[in-house]
Amino acid sequence: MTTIAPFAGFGLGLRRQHYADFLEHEQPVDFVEIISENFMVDGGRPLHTLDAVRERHQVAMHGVSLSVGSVTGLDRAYLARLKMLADRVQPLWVSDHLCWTGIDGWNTHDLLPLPYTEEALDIVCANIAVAQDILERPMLFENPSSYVAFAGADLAEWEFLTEVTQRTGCFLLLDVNNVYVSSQNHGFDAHTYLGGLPADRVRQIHLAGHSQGTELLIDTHDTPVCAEVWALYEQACTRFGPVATMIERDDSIPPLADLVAELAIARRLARAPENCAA
Amino acid sequence: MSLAALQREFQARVVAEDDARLSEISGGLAVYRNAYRSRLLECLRSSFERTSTWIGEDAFAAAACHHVIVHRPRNWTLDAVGEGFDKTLAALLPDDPEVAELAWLERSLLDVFTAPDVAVVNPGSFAAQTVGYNDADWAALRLRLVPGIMTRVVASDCVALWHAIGAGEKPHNWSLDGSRTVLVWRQNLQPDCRLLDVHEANALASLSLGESFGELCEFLVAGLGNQGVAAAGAFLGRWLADGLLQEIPQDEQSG
Repeated sequence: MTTIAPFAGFGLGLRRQHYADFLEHEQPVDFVEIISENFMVDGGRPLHTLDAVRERHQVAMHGVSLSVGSVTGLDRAYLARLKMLADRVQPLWVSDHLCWTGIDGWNTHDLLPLPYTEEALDIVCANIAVAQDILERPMLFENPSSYVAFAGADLAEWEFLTEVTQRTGCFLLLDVNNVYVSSQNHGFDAHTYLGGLPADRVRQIHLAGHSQGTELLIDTHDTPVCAEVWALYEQACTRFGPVATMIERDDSIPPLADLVAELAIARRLARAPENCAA
Repeated sequence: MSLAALQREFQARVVAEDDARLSEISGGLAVYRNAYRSRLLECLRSSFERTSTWIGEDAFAAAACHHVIVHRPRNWTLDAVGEGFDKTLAALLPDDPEVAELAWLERSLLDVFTAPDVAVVNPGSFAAQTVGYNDADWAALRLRLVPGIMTRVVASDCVALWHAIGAGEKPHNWSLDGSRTVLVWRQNLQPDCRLLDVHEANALASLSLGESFGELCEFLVAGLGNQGVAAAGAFLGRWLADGLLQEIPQDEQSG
């Protein structure tokens, strides 16, 4: 498998609070996205639930622990378990983040920022090549929200991501909220960011809410999508054409109907005539 | 600065515990630092809800902080953060053994929740299969426990404690006359637990060592005399009803 076919559906994250909704009723979604690590287990209810949901819906796998930016390389045992899950689920795609989570035996369980240097680019691309080889599929990588920027960067984040796709053949998961949060935190232009990404490599879009911290915007996924992010999403639709879109909610999780209603906004915006041209 | 040096320095600040280094952390770095610490503590809080209720929020937070400082997170799964938390509590609260035992129980129920799936022996099928058994057949019978089962000798009735806290009741008696063994397993998809008496605990230990039903009976007869065989039958019935026995493939049944 050397490519990922475009899939232009609308989905939601599969969260424990909504398992019964997905198992007992038809839901108006084209796919669900799972947090891969929650299902990388030996057995029991999580996998039974996932199997049942998979019978009804396409599934995208989204990980948080690959740590593709770690200078000390990847955890092969983790990748072996991830592949087992991917073989079982047969997902639309497997994604993770452009970040690192720890080195020297630590795992901070956070998406730590990378300096966008040529050295980091070499390391990220080498790690992605290993991951894609083991998984036997190209992956998607998501732009993270970030709260620090490093002096001496050679590339802007969008340039770094573009290079990564060109060198590894991977695709992109564009988190529009993360673009907005990072643009506000670091003072770059979000529209320039979107314009700088390779349109043919974006396979999925995340939409989410954020919160105002003391000094910075924080990517908290605990509120509805804000007006500024919807506006940016409209621009993304125009730029990237029909792309799988989902609402990401990980805290203060509302009833599923609320998220379905929020997803309907995304459907409406994506289908507006002025946003349909790729 | 090389990427390796940058990541080591950045990580050292994110996981810092000494006051000097903590005082240097501000702005964006503080966001990562706070997220690191709060994510680990929230993981412990959600994994040990009843233990937290039992000892109170402040005492739990102090123990949780101590645990994440001493046991740095290494695994790709957050679930691993709770490994050994019962031992942390035992060391911090040596005069309250029920706390560590309750934490062990909560953790074991979580672990067994995702234990491997296997085909469980159906009581009806087992009865039909063994209806014509003679003494030699029973003696040669081999039974295999489902995977993920956990046992622990306890000094408190942490099972009663666990149920009472879950029901929002104020537990009034969790003492035991001597030590007992707690068994944790999963019945179908639902984790379960109960206290065992010493004979059932020994019988289960015998099975887990691969001994035959005949050897298990001999063991019980040695302890219970004439009541030993009847006890073995009663245990077997309970294990079948509880879903504790897994099917053994045909080619593994002899020997």
